[in-house]
Amino acid sequence: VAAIPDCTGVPFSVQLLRDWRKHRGGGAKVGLFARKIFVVVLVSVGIQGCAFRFLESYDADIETGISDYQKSTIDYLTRITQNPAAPENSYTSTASQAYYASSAAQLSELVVRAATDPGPTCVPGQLSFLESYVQQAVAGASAKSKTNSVADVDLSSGTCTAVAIRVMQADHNRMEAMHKRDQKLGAANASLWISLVEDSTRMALTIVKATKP
Amino acid sequence: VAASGDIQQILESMLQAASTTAAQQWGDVKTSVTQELQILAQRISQIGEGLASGDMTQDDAEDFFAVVRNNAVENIAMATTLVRAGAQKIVDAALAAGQAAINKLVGFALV
Repeated sequence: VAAIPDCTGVPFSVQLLRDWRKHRGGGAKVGLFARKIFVVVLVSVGIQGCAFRFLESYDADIETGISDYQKSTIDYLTRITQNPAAPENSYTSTASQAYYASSAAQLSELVVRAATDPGPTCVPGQLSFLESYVQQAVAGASAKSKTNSVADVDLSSGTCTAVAIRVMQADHNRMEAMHKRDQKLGAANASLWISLVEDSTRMALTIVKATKP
Repeated sequence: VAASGDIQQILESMLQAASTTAAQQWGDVKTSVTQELQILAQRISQIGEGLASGDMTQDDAEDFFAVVRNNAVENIAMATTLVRAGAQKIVDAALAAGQAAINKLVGFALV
């Protein structure tokens, strides 16, 4: 697991240890009580001064932004599933153009915000076995359906929060590309998009909430 | 001798707190990751059904599979985050236990 150490107290602790050894070696008699106090000081300085950060910082605005995107997208898609004659079903409608412009801006803002966090990248390390297992399983299913798709995002593209938001953006781009190509999304496809957007935003929110101190 | 005994006592408190926290964290990670993998499998099945019924074109299926692959990447990102958050809690619990052991040793709230 990658960690960012912030060990301001450690050099001080090491210096204390050296001083203690020097005094002991020089013949100075250190009493039992003094030694006990020294151990307490040494360990407490270490505890207070050396904090390890394994995660990116929690950002409440990112959490809110993900929820807002989820709500507006599900609302938009639900109108298509409930009524295929609704203007949202047509890619060229004013409603669709307004939705795609505003949601793309929303996601772009979130991507930029998440990219500024200097936290550890999302390369899974010990979990790489899970990565290859999942990717092989999806690739097998994709080949059976005679499709040759690849993922648009990889895990090295920032913190795990940044990766999750890039996935949401890539999914959104795929949805717009499909809508533009087919001109009408259709109730069945819109319904599957609702599930996929819910999956993606749920995982993104789980990631962001897990970074809460 | 007394000094190394004190360190041992503090260390044991920290290790105890760490192992208890680790067991709780792993259960949570396993549940979340398993649920999301089951959902991914369900989405793959829905794409297959859509193709078979003619509700979606081959190009649509291509896009949907790319999205499933993206979401699989996000699943790994989620698992990684939950494991790291667990590790963070283990370290925090160990440090809190160390603080408690020190305070007990000195008899007042030093840290």
